[in-house]
Parts: sequence; C-alpha cells; structure tokens
Amino acid sequence: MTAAISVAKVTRRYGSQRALDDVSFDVAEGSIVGLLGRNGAGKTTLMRVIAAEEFASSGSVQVFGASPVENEAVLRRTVFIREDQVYPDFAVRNALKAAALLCPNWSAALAASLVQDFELPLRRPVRALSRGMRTMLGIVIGLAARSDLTMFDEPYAGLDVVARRMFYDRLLADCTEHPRTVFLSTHLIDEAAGLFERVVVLDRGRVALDAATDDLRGSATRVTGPAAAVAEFAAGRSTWDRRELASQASVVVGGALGARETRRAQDLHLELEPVSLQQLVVHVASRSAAEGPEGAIS
Amino acid sequence: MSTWVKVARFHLLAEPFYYVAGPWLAAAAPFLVIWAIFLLSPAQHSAPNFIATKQSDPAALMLQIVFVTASGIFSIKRSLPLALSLGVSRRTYYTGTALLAVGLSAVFGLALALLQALDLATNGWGVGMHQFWFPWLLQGPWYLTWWTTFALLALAFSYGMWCGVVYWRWHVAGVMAFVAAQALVLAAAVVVASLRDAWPGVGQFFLSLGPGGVTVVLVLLALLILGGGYATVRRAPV
Repeated sequence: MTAAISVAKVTRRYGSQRALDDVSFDVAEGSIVGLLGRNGAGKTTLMRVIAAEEFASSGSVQVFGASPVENEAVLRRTVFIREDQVYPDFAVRNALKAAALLCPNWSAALAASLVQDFELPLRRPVRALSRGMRTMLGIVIGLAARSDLTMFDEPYAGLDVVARRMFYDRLLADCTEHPRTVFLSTHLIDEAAGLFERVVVLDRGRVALDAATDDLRGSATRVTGPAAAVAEFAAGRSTWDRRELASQASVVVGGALGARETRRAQDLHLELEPVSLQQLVVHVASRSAAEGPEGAIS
Repeated sequence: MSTWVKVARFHLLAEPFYYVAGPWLAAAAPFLVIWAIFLLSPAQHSAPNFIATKQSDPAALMLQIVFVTASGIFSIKRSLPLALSLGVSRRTYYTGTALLAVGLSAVFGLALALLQALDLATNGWGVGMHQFWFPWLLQGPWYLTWWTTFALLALAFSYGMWCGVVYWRWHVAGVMAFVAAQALVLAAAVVVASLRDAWPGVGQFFLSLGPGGVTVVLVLLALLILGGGYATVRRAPV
C-alpha cells in the first residue's frame, strides 16, 4: 500500500531546542493512525509540519508522494483541525459554509447530521461557544470535509464521554463508507485505541514507538500473585513496573506468552492481565528517555 | 469556481462587517459630525463667498482608508489559519485575498465617485462643506475620482495584508520593526529633502504628474506592496 504520509529524518529546531528530532515514519493510505505522546512531546509540531503550516529545519515530508509545502494538489486533499483552531469572528453556520466553500469533498448531509447529533447552535458566534462546542465544530468540519487525509490534533478538548463516543462511532462509520487516511493525536489512549490500526509514539521529539496495534496487543502482560511465585515466573524476562504489597506482588513482563507459559502461571496461582495500550505507551515513553528510540517493548 | 474566487468569497462569508459595512460606518461617523457642525454653524452660512472657496474636509475618506487598512490586516491575521487548515495554500489564499482587495476597492471607488457627484450636486450636502471632493487630487471627472480612490483603497488594503503576513512570520515584534523601518526611511527622506532644499522640486514633480499620474504611482506602490507580501507569505508559519 502506498504511503499517504512519509516523514523522513525530520528535525524542527526552535533556537537550541529540538521540538522534533530525526523523526521518521510512514502512514499507509486508507489507514487510521494514532499519534501518541505526553504534553510537549512534539505531536502538534509534527502535525503542523505535515500540514505545511510549519516548516521542518531538516528532513523531508511527503504527502501523497509530494512535498505539501505550497503544493495546491496535495493541500486540497487535506484537512487539519487543531486543538487550538483559530476561527474568524463568525457564526457556526458561516463557519460551515466557509468550510463547504473550500473543501472539495464537503458533505453537507454529514455536516447537518453531525450538527444535529452534537446539538451545535448554528446562529451562535464561534467566539461565544464553550470549549467543548468549539471542539465539536472542529470535528464536524474535519469529518464533513471528507478529505483524503484528515488530521485531528487532540479533538477531545472539553468533550464529555458521550460526545467522544459519538465522535469515535461517526469517524469509524464514515471512514468505512468513505475510506480515507486519518491521522489523529490524543492523550486518551485507551479510549481511542480501538480506532487505530497503527500508533506512533513521540517522546521528547523522537519516535519512541511505531507499531501496528495488533502487534502491540498481548506484547506485555501484568502478572499478579504471591511475591515468590511472581519472582519465579518473571526470572530471566524483561520486566517493569514492579509493585509489592505485603506478600503479594505484580510486575509487567514483556513479550507474548505462549500456552506453556500460561499453564505455568496457572500452576503458580498467578493472574495474567494484558497490558493496555496506554500502559505500554507510558512504559515506552519512560524508557525512551533513558534508552533513546530503541526503548520499545522488549 | 477558481480557488482564488472561493477565498475571496470565504472572506465575505467570514467577516462581512470588516469588508463591507465597517469601512462605510467608519466614514459615516466623521461625515455626520462635520455635517452637523456646519449645519448648526450660522457663521458658515452667512459667509458671502463660501461657495466660491469650496471648503473641503477629508476626514470621512481618511477614516475609511484607515479602516480598510485594518481590514487588510484582519484578512490575514484572523482568517489565514482556518483557510490553511481547510487545505488552501498560502499563496492561493494571498492571491484570493488580493482579489478581494481589488474588487472591494473598485466597488468602493465607484461608490465614492457617486458620493462626490452627490456632494457637488448638493453643494456640499447643503451646508457648503465638501467631504468627497478635494482640490487637485479628487476634483476631476467621475472616472478619475473612481481611479484615484480605487488606488488609495487598494494601497491601504495591500499594506494591511503585508502587515498581517509579517505578523504571522515574525509576530508582533516583527510588525513593529517593519513599521518602524518604514518610518525611519520616510524620516530620512524628509531630512534629506529638507537639507538639500528639494521640496520645491518634489512638489513640482508631483504637479507635473497630475492627479492621474499620481494615481499611477499609487497603483505601482500597491503592486510593489502586494509583491512583497506574496514573497513573505510563503514561509509564514501559522
């Protein structure tokens, strides 16, 4: 499959600080990819560089096989809704009309349906919207644009759980009906994990992990039980996040567990629990700081 | 529809007040104040030859030009981020905005030419104060008034656009440096002209150009400014 986004050795410096440091990864066309990382990891800067709103200090970004910088053919196929999206001083309905004017694949029907679902007040000025409603407006524009590359930067600010669920459902449903590439950054990793086919984890401007979510599921397991049994089971394995309480202990072991190891755990009266994507990301981020980009699951 | 035209329509949809109503409201305020003063001032009416002297006050037109400059700033400062988010390139956005500047200036210029005709027909709105007729620069036929006011407004909007681009590229400090540098150049030119006693020559130069020629200079200046903004916008991050 061809790459919708191809980022190669991208660095973005602000003075002596490196917001992005030698970042490389690809996003396949038609996939939904999550960009994860802590605050200040460089997610927004990276998305701005991909959308040609910001410029890389070095390295190259290609979108649909060409540089997006001032490339009308590429940019007309993209939409990028930022967490801090700036709007002119107009009403919601005019914001939607403006988006309909500029987005070639705009779906008025989808926009109307989303506006109804999110209960957006069409006549209210955007500046008078609550934070959550501004986020909803961004979601409506981003989804109804039906651009070949749709990028959302933290599209959850101020949204309650019902609205977030609605966003996930509508995104998946519309992408199934009208396939396109979606690149989405988020802090709510476990909540959005079901959306992603692949995740890219940034930490301090570097790629700490770039993997298919199917490969990550089951790549680490939390083992809980009597401290001696846990120690015996974990011996010789890659482990982290060890916790002890009285005679009980728990630890995360890296690598997939086979049938033989699962049986052994049962024999030792140990509980096995798959580690969530969020826990993996936390681990990767904490290890990458110490070990560099190789700090992935091991 | 070309993306340039779509960008121009995007502006009118986004902030119609700044582009359509605002400049006229800005002109209306001084116009009404000056008109009221002259209406309530019997001394002016009693002057036997006030018609012959043709008093004029450019406050309404000047305020409109100032507002149009602000509209040019807003057109880039406030709307560029959303347009880029929706997949418009900087240069397409800039060209579409310049198209809006040209269109608005042409329509406003025509309206100002009409107002000048009314101004003259009513002998200064019935109070002997001409607010859309000015000696030398705006006293020719209607089409010359249209041409000159078009050039003034297009120049003002273009200058505002360039300031908006400079803001995105170098932020507030950049705009201040940009304006300060121009003020320094102008001040230096004034000093040099004064030291060399060149003012009569400068005046003679503009007089020899005539209002039409000065308007051509204004249009060339507007094109130069548009070119500067076009070159600057390419590397402006948002």
